[in-house]
Amino acid sequence: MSFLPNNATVGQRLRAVVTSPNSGVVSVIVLVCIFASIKSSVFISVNNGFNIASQMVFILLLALGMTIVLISGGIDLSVGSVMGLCAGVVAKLMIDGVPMVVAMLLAVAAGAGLGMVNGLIITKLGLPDFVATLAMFGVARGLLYLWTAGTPFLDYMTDTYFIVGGLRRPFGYLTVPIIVALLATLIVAVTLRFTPFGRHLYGVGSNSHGAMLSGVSVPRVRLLAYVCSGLLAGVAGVLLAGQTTAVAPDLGTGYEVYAIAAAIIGGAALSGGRGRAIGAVIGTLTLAVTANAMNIAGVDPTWQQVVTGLILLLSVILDRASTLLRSRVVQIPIQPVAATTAATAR
Amino acid sequence: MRIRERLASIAAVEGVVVALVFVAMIIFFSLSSPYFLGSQNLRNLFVESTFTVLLAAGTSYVLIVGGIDLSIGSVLGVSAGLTLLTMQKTNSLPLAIAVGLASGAAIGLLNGGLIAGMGINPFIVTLATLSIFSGGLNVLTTRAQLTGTPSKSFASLAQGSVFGLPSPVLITAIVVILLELVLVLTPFGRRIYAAGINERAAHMAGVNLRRLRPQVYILSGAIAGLAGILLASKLNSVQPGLGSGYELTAIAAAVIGGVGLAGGQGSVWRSVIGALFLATLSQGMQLLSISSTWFTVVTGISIVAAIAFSRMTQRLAAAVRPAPLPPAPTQPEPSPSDDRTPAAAG
Amino acid sequence: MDMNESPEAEPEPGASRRSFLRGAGLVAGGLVGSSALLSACTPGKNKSADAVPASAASGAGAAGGALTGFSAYDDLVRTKTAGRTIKLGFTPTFLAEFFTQIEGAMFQRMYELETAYGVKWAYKRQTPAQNSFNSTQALIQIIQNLASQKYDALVVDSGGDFATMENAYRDALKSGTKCFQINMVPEMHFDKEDRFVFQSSVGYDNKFQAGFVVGDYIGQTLKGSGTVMQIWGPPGSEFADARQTGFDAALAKYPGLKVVAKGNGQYQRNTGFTVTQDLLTRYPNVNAIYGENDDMALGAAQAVDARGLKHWDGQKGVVIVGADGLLSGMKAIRDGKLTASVDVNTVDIGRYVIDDVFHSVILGDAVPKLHWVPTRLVTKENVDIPEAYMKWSLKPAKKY
Repeated sequence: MSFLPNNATVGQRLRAVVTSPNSGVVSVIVLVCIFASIKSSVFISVNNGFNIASQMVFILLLALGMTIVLISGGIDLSVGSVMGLCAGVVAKLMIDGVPMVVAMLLAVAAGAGLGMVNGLIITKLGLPDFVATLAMFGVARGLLYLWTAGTPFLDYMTDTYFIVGGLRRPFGYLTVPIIVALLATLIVAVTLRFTPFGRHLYGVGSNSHGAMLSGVSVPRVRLLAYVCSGLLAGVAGVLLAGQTTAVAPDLGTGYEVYAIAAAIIGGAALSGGRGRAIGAVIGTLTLAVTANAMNIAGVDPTWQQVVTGLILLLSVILDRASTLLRSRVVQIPIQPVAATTAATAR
Repeated sequence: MRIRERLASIAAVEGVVVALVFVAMIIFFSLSSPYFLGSQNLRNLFVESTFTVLLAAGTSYVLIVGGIDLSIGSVLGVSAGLTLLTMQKTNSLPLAIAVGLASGAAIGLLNGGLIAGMGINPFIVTLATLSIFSGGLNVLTTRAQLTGTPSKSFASLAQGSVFGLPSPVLITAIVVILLELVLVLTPFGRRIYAAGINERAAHMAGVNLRRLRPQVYILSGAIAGLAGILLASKLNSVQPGLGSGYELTAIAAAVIGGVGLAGGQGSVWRSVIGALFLATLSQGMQLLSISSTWFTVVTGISIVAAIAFSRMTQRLAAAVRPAPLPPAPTQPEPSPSDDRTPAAAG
Repeated sequence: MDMNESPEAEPEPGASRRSFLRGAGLVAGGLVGSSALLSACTPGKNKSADAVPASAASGAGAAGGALTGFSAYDDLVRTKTAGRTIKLGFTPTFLAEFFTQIEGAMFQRMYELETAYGVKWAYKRQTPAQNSFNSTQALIQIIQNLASQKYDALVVDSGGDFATMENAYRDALKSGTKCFQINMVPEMHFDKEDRFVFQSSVGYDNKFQAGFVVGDYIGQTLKGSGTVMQIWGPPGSEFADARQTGFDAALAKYPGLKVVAKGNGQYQRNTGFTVTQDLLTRYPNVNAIYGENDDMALGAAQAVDARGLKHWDGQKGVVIVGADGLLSGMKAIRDGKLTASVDVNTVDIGRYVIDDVFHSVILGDAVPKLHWVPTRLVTKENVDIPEAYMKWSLKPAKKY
């Protein structure tokens, strides 16, 4: 929008809004919000805004990592399991008397380490990303089961940890998890946009051969992408353990799907080379607002899954429509092949 | 040495090494457990793996054309539910089978229409339909008691035997062989490969992708429907959540067998090997009395080991072989670790 | 199955050798005494405190099958069991505290029967690889595998898919494997009771021993009027449906009680937390929350804390009720995080099912198809008894 001259007409401005990236998703979020606030006035309230923000944190952290991996052309199915295992690490270490900060650092390091294992298996052994991270998905989950022996880790909470987990709020609505999520978004956004690593990620993801020819170490970039994803999963695990106050062996199950969905709704593509940090935020917001709105509006739980799917579908359809409109506006001939990969590649 | 070269050229065919690893695993399990080769056990193994085998076979079509279908698990569930419902209401076996297949094909059409017609990312479309239809099964099961029909002919679909072979195994074998033949021998199959390898080139060569892609998704949906019919017949009841998670197993099976996620690469028999690999691994671990807490860990490590081994063998074989097979019709291989060729993304 | 595997098993060889001798006619009391004595003398972890309640409980004879003290009867049973080994499989849906408690209770009872009558156990636990409430297919596969390995008896918890299991049980029975199910919902299937294939279904009535009990408790605690929020399992779960029926029946007695909202907590703590967080925004003045299991109820309790609301103190605050009967739940009640919880009695479920296996496999008795255990609404006032019972189950005299 910024490239519009100051004397742009209302129609031009409108068109710019409609065709801006993620406009389809954002309009669906707005529609959902209107529906929910008609059903219940409390939907638009500071308290509920806080609910949504605090519920976004964990998926957002994973979605940021997922966006990095997707940009590099990979996929990370292990983030849910890694998050669970890292939550287990911090809980068990604290039960065993390790000081909180040390335990947290070790848990985050464990996350980064598991991400590195993913990256090494992919770059050194040459396994497909899907298979390597699927294996880690099983291994990390299995390790947590073995470690807990099926009984949750309990009684590790300290007063400070209640603050870290966001259950106590000394700074009002700005809880520690929300602050961490904001910082992480900012760091990822800056990294993607302004650092060589960020540029290399896009280069490797959109054309790894070309990136290699221009002197980028493709394996190193891909390895680092997985380390970032693991690290963010570790951070999410540390915060989640503080919110649940118990680490059950199934903690974090299914989060990988939410993370991938959030990243893709936000504009990342499985074919690599695309994605933004703000996209991850918008994608996560879509999921969180949908879930929250259905609870507030009192949608029958039996129907909630159907409604979630429909909203998801509607948002991607509108997004696609807006992209098609944009390409018409900018006078780019529409691809004869209406294939995602063709239309989304840079 | 000619034998060495010949061996190398066999090993260089993708999928052969995984098949050999699979055979080695069978030998290992049959030596370690007296029950493994028992007729009862083999029967169980084959009957239980039919569902994954069917879904993996359908998935290979979708993956080869360059797409992904996450909805097959929920299609399986919904088709099973509708089949059983039709059976309860009409007691007509042909009608029930028709409903099961048609519902699967219809969801496939919806997926394919949105993906090809609008050019929306297949991952997110099928994730949305996954949510919609597994939610739909929830709704269906709360509206109708989907437990049992008195019909013997329906039960014999999955519980009967023909010439001593369990009928679901026979049905699956026929379907899998047909699918493989169609993929390898017909123009339809060649078009699928062409579209997966390079869609623009395929388009220029006259392949109508707007028609081809929906056809593939309809096929994948109908096969998931068939699996649903068999599962409904086997269980004689349908619960909410039936089929959830099958999509991941099916995709994993295909990828383990050597079907690429980037499209244009793989075959039906390789996916079947992958599915049998997973089923045999889980069966074998149970017979070896490996504690089930270790299952996910052992499965993950085995998958990595098997594929890493097959990749390494192939690399070695490629080094030994004097005359390489014609290179893939894309660009020179960018790096051994990169399974996404840039051409496929462009 | 090696007896010397764990320190807990140490007194075992001696005890079983003794019970061999007992065939010559030693009195039963002597056996119980000597095994307790043996464990008392054994150095190591196995303190007599762990073993004594075992013998005491077997004396109480929860459901028959243990020593009567009448030597004529005991000796006859012992002759029947002499040299017999029961191949027993346990297939919980997934690994969880709940099943650890049941397994511990099963071990206690297996040990009691072993010391009393000399029956041996070859035991194996198998769970589907992935944790899921929908892992029925994987479970069926395990049942088939164990049946093809000629197991005598399987203790099955399929986590709700009642009708689906019938075929698996039927096939297993063809191979000579008897299936005993635990913690299931047969009360939703009385219409086809004549076709039940399992040997026995040990558990509790979800309608009237769980849902109704909670409804009644909330009604009495709130003196018949107030608003209630339900944090429920996934739609279509038979447990959820059965408990709902009972809960509704109880609420019918209290016209002043009103259910204002129902959310899907997916049986998980963090989902229970977020759903409650949302619903509390719309209904901040709710008087009671019924979490269908302890994990969701504890998530709800955290949401109540996070919102700065007070828990029930006997006069005012939010009443939060769960259900499960886990040691961690008992602790939560003691700590005041949960107001109450239904203890569905994991310990007796484990003990009763072993009794049924023993009766059916060794003695050839017809065991009851429906075998209910007592359940209990636990509050701060009465938490000691169930807590002690669970603790005992978690320290089995012998691990198999």
